[in-house]
Amino acid sequence: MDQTLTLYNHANVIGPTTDFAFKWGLNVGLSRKKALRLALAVDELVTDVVRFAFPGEEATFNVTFRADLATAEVIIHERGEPFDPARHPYDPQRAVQDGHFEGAGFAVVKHCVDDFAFINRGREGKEFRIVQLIESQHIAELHPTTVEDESDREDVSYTLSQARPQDTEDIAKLIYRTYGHTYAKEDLYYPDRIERALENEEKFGVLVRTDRGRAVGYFAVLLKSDSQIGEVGEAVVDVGHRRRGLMKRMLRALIDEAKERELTGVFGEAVTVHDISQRVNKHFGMMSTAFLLGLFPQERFVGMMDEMTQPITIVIDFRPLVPYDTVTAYLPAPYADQLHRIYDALGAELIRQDPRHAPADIAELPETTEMDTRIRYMYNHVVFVVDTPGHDLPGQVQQALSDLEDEEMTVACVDLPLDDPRTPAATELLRDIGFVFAGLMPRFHQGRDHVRLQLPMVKLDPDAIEVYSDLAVMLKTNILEELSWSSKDTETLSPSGAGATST
Amino acid sequence: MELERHGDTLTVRCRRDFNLMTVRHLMHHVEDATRIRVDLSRARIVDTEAVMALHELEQKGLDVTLLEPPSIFYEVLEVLELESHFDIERLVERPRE
Repeated sequence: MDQTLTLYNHANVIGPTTDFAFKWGLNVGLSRKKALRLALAVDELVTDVVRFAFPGEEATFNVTFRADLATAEVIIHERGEPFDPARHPYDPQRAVQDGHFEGAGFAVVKHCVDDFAFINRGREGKEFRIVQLIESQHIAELHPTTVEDESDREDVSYTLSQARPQDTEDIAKLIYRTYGHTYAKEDLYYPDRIERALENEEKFGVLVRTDRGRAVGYFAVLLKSDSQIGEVGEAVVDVGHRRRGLMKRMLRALIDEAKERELTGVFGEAVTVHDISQRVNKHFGMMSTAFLLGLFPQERFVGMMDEMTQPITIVIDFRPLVPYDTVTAYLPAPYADQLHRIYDALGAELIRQDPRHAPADIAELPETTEMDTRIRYMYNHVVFVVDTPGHDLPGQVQQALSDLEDEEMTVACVDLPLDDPRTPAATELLRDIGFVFAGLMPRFHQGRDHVRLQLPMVKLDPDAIEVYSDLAVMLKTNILEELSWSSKDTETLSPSGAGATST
Repeated sequence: MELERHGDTLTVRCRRDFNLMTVRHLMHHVEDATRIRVDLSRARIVDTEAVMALHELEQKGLDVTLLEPPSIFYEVLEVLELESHFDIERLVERPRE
């Protein structure tokens, strides 16, 4: 969960903020050395805001701390004077001769962190984002992972129990034994990351052990930090113990646990390099709701599909745990039919608009957009989660993509709240800059349904994308048609997205 | 920040990081001192504001020495390519090992 400090531009905030950054860094798993460097980077950026962002006036700015199991990110957001760090490079000669140290702070920031991004958000100000990768030890480096194979035993019996922090090494070993280096969820190779996630209640899972205590099955739900839903995202059964109903037993236990925790739904991110995960999801009552092009880099799947040479496309499969009854949604006209079909599949009985609010025209949109930019540095994609769509939405998105050019993003996504009457107009604006439909993200942010639009920045071979359910087929067909993509056509697109069609 | 004056020598003991706030205090108290000793044994961080202040004091002809700066100080000097500009042997009373 994000932690945000709102600070005045006074010099006395620098020390406490730096101290907080250091201790927060340690708490999310950074080494002392990396936490200290993160703190120095925060010191430099906060100092810069205090000194230069608001000349002659008192103002506030935000510092947001955001972490997952592999990355620690700090976002400094201010609405001060326009500024672009790229135009102020540090020059050591000028520093020595004239005492002009312009750019020195940014030089130090870049040295201290694993990633630094500057995003100009127009009227909404500027964001400085710094990222430190959290070091962990891979299970293969920790202990031998071979154990006695007892799969031939006829009389083997199994016990299911809740996964606990002390089980983490067994879980990592099970993943490594079963998948080698090919499992997509990289965090599962690092016992300390699993332990941290369980301790922080970022996920819950079940573990299957044989009567001799060997871990042979694991299945977990990863909780979304901004909504009451979870991703059924980690599943493994030891090869020698398959076809014994363990996966079903684990999933049943997980769904029961999810209901007890009052989750409103569970979802899966099924890869499309094969259809196995999609079949499993369908078997467990999930419905395909979105088709996300090139969301994950191919490197995550090294060894699994040696022939894969393109980023991995994902199908979102969702199962509501609280029924959809009446849905308030302003469906963008070009995608209304597809969204209706998805809602039907999810069991929505009635889709209506709020009688007090008619859909807004573009002219009725506010000037500025309020949104959260979520950059997944390791996966080369960015998701803009819009709270209030405004006129400057396309401008803000394009500027951010231009600022992130060095990050080599493969796709950008925008999530618009469907219960907002301004969403159809915002969709129109995004379509004008090349965004296309991606699908429905059910209950994805603050429990609200969002329509997702996407802008692929690399071209993919559609023939290498395999989908299974009828809904996934529909989404793939329509989205590729909207992009005018044909087979065997790969090239990098410009971040502006204006040419997001095949040539 | 603790301050001590012995003749024209000002000794400063930083209770925390050597940053903008500390620099402002230090500059406020320099007055007519010709020699400044900055004890950084309790500082975790020395940032670019501090480096700029050291440069400025040296340019003014003051004799500045640092006591036990944290290792990240040397890193900052290296990134800013100022290692040769600051005579470390003279600047730091107890040079790094």
